Amino acid sequence: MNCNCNRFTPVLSRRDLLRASAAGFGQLALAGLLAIDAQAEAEAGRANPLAPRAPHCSARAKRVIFLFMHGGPSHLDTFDYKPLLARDHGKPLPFAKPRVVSAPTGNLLKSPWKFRQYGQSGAWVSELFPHVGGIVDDLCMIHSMHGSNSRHGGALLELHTGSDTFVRPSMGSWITYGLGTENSDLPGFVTICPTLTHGGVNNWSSAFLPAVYQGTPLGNASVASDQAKIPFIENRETPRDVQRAELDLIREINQRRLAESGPDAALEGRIESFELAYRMQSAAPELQDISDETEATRKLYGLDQDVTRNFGRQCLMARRFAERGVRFVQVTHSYKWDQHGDLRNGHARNALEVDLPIAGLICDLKARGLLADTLVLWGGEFGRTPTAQGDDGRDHNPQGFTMWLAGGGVKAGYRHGATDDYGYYSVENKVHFHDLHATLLHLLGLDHLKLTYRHAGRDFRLTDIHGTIVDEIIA
Amino acid sequence: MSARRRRANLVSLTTATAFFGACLFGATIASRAADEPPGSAPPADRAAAEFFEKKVRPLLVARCQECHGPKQQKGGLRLDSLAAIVTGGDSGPALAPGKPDDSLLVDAVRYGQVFQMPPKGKLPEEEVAVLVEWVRRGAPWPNAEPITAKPAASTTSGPAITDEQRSFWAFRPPAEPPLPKVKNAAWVASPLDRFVLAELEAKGLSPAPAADRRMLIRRASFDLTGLPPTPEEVDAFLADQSPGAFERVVDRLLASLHYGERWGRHWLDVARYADSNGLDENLAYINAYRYRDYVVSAFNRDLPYDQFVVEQLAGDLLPGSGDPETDYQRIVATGFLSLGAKMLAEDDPVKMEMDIIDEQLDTLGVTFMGLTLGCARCHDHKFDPIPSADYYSLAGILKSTRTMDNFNVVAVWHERPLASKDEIAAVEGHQKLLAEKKAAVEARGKAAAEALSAAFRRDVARYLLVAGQLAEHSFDLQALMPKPDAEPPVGAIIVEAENFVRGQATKLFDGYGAGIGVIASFGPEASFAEYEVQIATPGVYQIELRYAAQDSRPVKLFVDGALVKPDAANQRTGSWNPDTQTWFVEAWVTLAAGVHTLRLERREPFPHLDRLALIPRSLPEEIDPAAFQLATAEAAAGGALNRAVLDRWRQALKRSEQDPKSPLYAWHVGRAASNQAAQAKPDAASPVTASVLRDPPPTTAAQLAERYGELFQQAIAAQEAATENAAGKSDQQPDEAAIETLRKLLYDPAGPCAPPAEAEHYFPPSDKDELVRLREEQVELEQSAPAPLPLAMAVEDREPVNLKIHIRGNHLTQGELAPRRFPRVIAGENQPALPADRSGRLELARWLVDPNHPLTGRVMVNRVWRWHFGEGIVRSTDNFGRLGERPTHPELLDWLARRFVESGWSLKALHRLIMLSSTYRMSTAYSAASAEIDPENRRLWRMNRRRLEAEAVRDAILAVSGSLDPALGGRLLKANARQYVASTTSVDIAQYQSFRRSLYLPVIRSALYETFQAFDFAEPSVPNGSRATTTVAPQALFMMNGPLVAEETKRLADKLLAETGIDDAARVRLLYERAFSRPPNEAESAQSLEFVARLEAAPAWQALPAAERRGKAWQSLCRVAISSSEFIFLE
Repeated sequence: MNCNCNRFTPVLSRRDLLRASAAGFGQLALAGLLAIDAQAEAEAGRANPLAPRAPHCSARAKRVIFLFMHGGPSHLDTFDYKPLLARDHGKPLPFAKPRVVSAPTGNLLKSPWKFRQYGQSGAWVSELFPHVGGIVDDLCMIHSMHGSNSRHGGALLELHTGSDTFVRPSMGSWITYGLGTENSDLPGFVTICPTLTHGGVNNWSSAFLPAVYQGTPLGNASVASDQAKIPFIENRETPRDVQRAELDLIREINQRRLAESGPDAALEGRIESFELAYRMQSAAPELQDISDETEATRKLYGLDQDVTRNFGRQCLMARRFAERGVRFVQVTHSYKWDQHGDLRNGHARNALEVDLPIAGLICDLKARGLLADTLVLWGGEFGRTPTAQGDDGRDHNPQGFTMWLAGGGVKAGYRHGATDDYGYYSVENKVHFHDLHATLLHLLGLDHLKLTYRHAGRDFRLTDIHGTIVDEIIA
Repeated sequence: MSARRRRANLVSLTTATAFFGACLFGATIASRAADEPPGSAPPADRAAAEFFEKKVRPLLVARCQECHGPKQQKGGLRLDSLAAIVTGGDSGPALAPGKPDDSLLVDAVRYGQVFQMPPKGKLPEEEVAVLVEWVRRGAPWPNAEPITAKPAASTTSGPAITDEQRSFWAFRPPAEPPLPKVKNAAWVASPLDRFVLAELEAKGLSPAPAADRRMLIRRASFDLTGLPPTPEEVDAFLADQSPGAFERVVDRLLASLHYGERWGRHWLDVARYADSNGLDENLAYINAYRYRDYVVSAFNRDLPYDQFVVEQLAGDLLPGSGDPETDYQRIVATGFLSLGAKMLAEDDPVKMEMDIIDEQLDTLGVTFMGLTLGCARCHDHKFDPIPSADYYSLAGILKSTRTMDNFNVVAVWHERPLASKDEIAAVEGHQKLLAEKKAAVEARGKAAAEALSAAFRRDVARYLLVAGQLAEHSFDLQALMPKPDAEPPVGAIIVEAENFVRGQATKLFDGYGAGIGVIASFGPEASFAEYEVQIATPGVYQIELRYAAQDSRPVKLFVDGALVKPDAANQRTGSWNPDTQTWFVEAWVTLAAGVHTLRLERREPFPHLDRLALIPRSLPEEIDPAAFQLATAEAAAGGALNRAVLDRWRQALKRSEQDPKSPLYAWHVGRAASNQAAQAKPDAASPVTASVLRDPPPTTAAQLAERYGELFQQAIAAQEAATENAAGKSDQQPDEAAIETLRKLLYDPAGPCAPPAEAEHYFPPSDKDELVRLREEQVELEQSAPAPLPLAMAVEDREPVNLKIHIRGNHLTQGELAPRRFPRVIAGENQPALPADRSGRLELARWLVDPNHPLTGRVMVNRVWRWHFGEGIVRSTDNFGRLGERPTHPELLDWLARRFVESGWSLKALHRLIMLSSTYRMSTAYSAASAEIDPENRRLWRMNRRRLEAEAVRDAILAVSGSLDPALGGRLLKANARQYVASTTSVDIAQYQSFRRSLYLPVIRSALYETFQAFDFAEPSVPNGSRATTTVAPQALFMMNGPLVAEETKRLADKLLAETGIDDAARVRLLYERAFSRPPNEAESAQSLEFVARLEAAPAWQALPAAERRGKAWQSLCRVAISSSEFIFLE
């Protein structure tokens, strides 16, 4: 199953990437031309780091939508059904807790929610996620996720970048670096309403990869999703025709300068970057204007209800980005899932906000034929302990938890791995974040061992020195 | 395979110690076995062999050998022979025969702390049991090969460094190369030009023509100050035709304080400077700015670079300079070690500490030596001769240095006061006084509260009696007020909550109070509402409150100044809305005829109060009226019972009703008996019950209370006896168990006699006054506190330690000791030991700045070259190791490094040396012929065109518009110490609206200012001596739509239009001179004027007044100028 093709040879040296025309989020008309004929591109001495690039081997997915549940949703109350936890409620955990924990916990705490089986696959889902339960046959559950860090900051960074210690490029950056983007008018990697805490920008930054690969944030967690925009995308003061006049003059002056100075990729790139920016200015509002969506679609995402409207819109935006060929879209349900206490109310409210929109997104992608090559990933930075914190809470638990995938080359209606009888530790077919990363890259046609970037004296990878592809979940 | 070899050749060892001497022993067994005839193995051995072959070997093959076998040896470990298992891998022996609990293999399959194997999932319990049993039996392995111990590479001091490695160019001291001969001697303005020219001539290249004067002064100004030259400075330079004109420009720029700001910022890239820890819980480093200001000042003072290095690593360890300010600055300088990105919320403190040390080490290596030391944390450096042992030798120096005060979650970094011993003593003395005063306040309060409790305990019989009577007479918490539509009880006085006579609670007549009116309060400050109530008929009144509350919001209820209930209105009704408003009983009070004051008070928001009611209640004869007197201090002296305490007794009695084990159960038995005229029967379930109800049985409530009273008094005596540790006991021994039970009840800190909430209200005046006095003194002390001492993020020495090698970077698997010392590839094998009484930081720093150190000088001159030319002589400025690039001009690099040291490590001398050369003064002119030979300009046939850095872009815009505030230093981040800068609600507190130079804007890790982000600001978590340059669409959006550009171009346009006495052509000229340091040519001028005229007539602006249209048109022209390549690219 390992990707053994050796076709990937970096077309560009680091120097090229940094220095050359690097025309931004994508490249304009010219770039399209260049992309068609890579040889011509090389000859012209120019390079577009975001031009679509051939994967290492055949890809099952073309893009990723990551539905990130910040705070750490409880697998024990959502997708990992543990009858023994209910049976032994109130008793001590019959085995040792980890050496390092975030807080002391007490005895076993059963889930306040009922589980039942859904679909052909018969997967157990709690009553918190009835709508997701309805599409469970499209999902590929990984019940044996585990990470290495028991704090939000470390765990977020590990999930997003593979390192809980240092600043490293995020997975969206690696993927955009590996594959480029298919839409030259939009960023290749966007993150909708991301959190500014627990690593903040580092969770979507390109770190030492060139800045073109960094995620473009739309708003942040404190901004309503219908107000979340690309930085500097709007100009309320300058009328469009005036701006066009300005840009025409800028182009004329810059082209004259280029003509005087002789060939210079940076000067050329700069001219193009203004044209791209101008077109992005049109593309982005068009993307954000959802007036062309039908009533049925709005309902599907829960835009007609107060409780689901905000997250629903994020999900709808994700579909619209995916439709337009954006490579990596992250949607964040921000820091709400951290129920050290008030589990009953907190998780109920959170699930209510996301359940319908998530199911809506999957259905919509499927209906539009996008699910086949769009990989959807759902999960948080860790799960929660089966042991109680207070009488209505659970602590962080990176030792074992559930994430699920859908679409893009994963087995539908499949369940992989398991935690122990109480859901504390991942014990069967364990999948570390590094393994998840390796698998994501593989599904996108990238070999995690070959997708490297030389920095500070060595070749770096998303998976660092780790990572094994989880063959079993691949369809 | 021979028959002999196939015979059972069983190694079975029972002790681990036997093993380590081992090969001989193994060989002995083997030879013994070899001499025996086939099939003669003892039955026990046969059983062991069978166990191994049937159970153990298949398991090892199936579960382990894929990764630890012939194909792969992960962690250096093989599990396919006994010898290999016992010898082990990188982490040492995997097995101690006979000792499962000491065997790493067993620990790993048990999913222990160090390893969890197999990684994909724990083995079934049966299989774990097999392995444990096998090890317990001594790990029998038929036909085992003799065991030879192999040295585990990473656990030792690492491989010796080969001569070849030592001879790598970067590890040899800089040479003193002869000046090359050149043909075009006329071009040589400085000896350094010879090195460049010789290379060019060798490749058949020729240098570009010199830059013209305008280009040159623009280049020099941006290079040295990060700002464009003013038109006046350009004119002065053009006018100065005397020799040395450019030299004078360079000297002027070097003398400018903006020089330190520009070059200090370069250094801050390398020092990965930031104002927050980043990574996880993002806390403000509010004192980091002192380090930044120190760096700026060091450059402006031309502090010799060797001194600069020493101060940053060990400034605190230098001998006193005699000047306190200098000494403080040296402490501040060590902020270099401290201000890195840190994970402050890490549950494993050992990992946190090693991560912090690693960050320091990596930064130090890259910054001063261009070496990626961090690679050697987990294994010997794969490319450079840095064994893991050398890493831990350096790590020991940093482990012996205090960077952190603790490694808790969230950890606290170390800060040092910048003050003299006397000043520190004064502050500490004052803090001590204040602490003492606070302790005195607390002690006094505690003593008074305890006295209050003692009084409650003495009065316990009366409390019990009244509480019992209240219970019997249904004086319970039954509200008497009916629903709104029914008739209230006769005589009830009802007050609308919003009709307070004094107060500042908010009145609401819509929303929450629709149709009825409620009071609430929303601010954080204390709220109160006071009511005056006219009482015509004296007597006992029941006070009720009607309110709605979704959360419990207790208020204090005062009557006539006496606290009647500290937590009135503490119930939840389900919502804040009127439909859940409910009446609750709060208190009973005895009120005389006349006007009485009711007061409600709360520091935080009120519940939503609708009404108050006072309902007259008739008092049963036997109840002591004192029970309802207001508990003022005077009343207490007169025997009034404390309402809170009375309530607690009442509740305690109520709870005990169904609990035969309760010490208060006898009360109910006694009362039931007397009510039914029956004999109370002692109940064996509780000694208290037996004692209270002993013969003759009490028949009235008063008698019961008296019985209890006696026993309680004995309990008090017992407590006092125990407290005073009185040796002599009273002659009579009462029922000890009963007394003990009651003693516990009386002295229970949460029991009925404990000081009530807001106890101070009930203190006697003497205590109250004293507390007031003490608190006033405390406030005075607080106000007279000396100003807080300035603090610096800085390090200091602590107990020196040597670290062991952490195998694979894991602190749980440690190898050999790595004594503190310097990297052996440079410092050699025979180094003097570092002192045992200090960290070795100062020694490390001095070693780095030894004039013959091969890296320190080279790395720094290369950095300076990079910041002047856009590329270093070694293009990988931060990596001089094998994976780094080789110098394009090795002799030049060495020559510069030598001159640098010779000049006393003067950076300003280095700038002059470089900038006065012909090399620096070349233009960027393109030559197709040269580009053909050297497309990357590695030989420097022309000057590199460079895009301005993020700070220079912003500063230049502000400079051109005239907005730039040239003030030096200080902190712009408005945050408190350790305040979260990007909170969990994701609000970024950093503000960037300022006209100060960019280097003073907050640098928030994980939430960088978006303008910085757009223009490739250095990632502030890692050292970066060569920023990337991209030209991306967000930069164009910033120019087109960013508020900064909009505001500053407007300002610039207004300025141009405000110039009087000139025409528009002259305005265009002004704009060009400001923005580009040159006048426009005719075509440009005409084009600009045409543009302005066209925009003034833009249809979109038709409705605007002419002056406004003109202003906007000029603003557009200014934006075009700022957006043009000429503005942002330096020639």
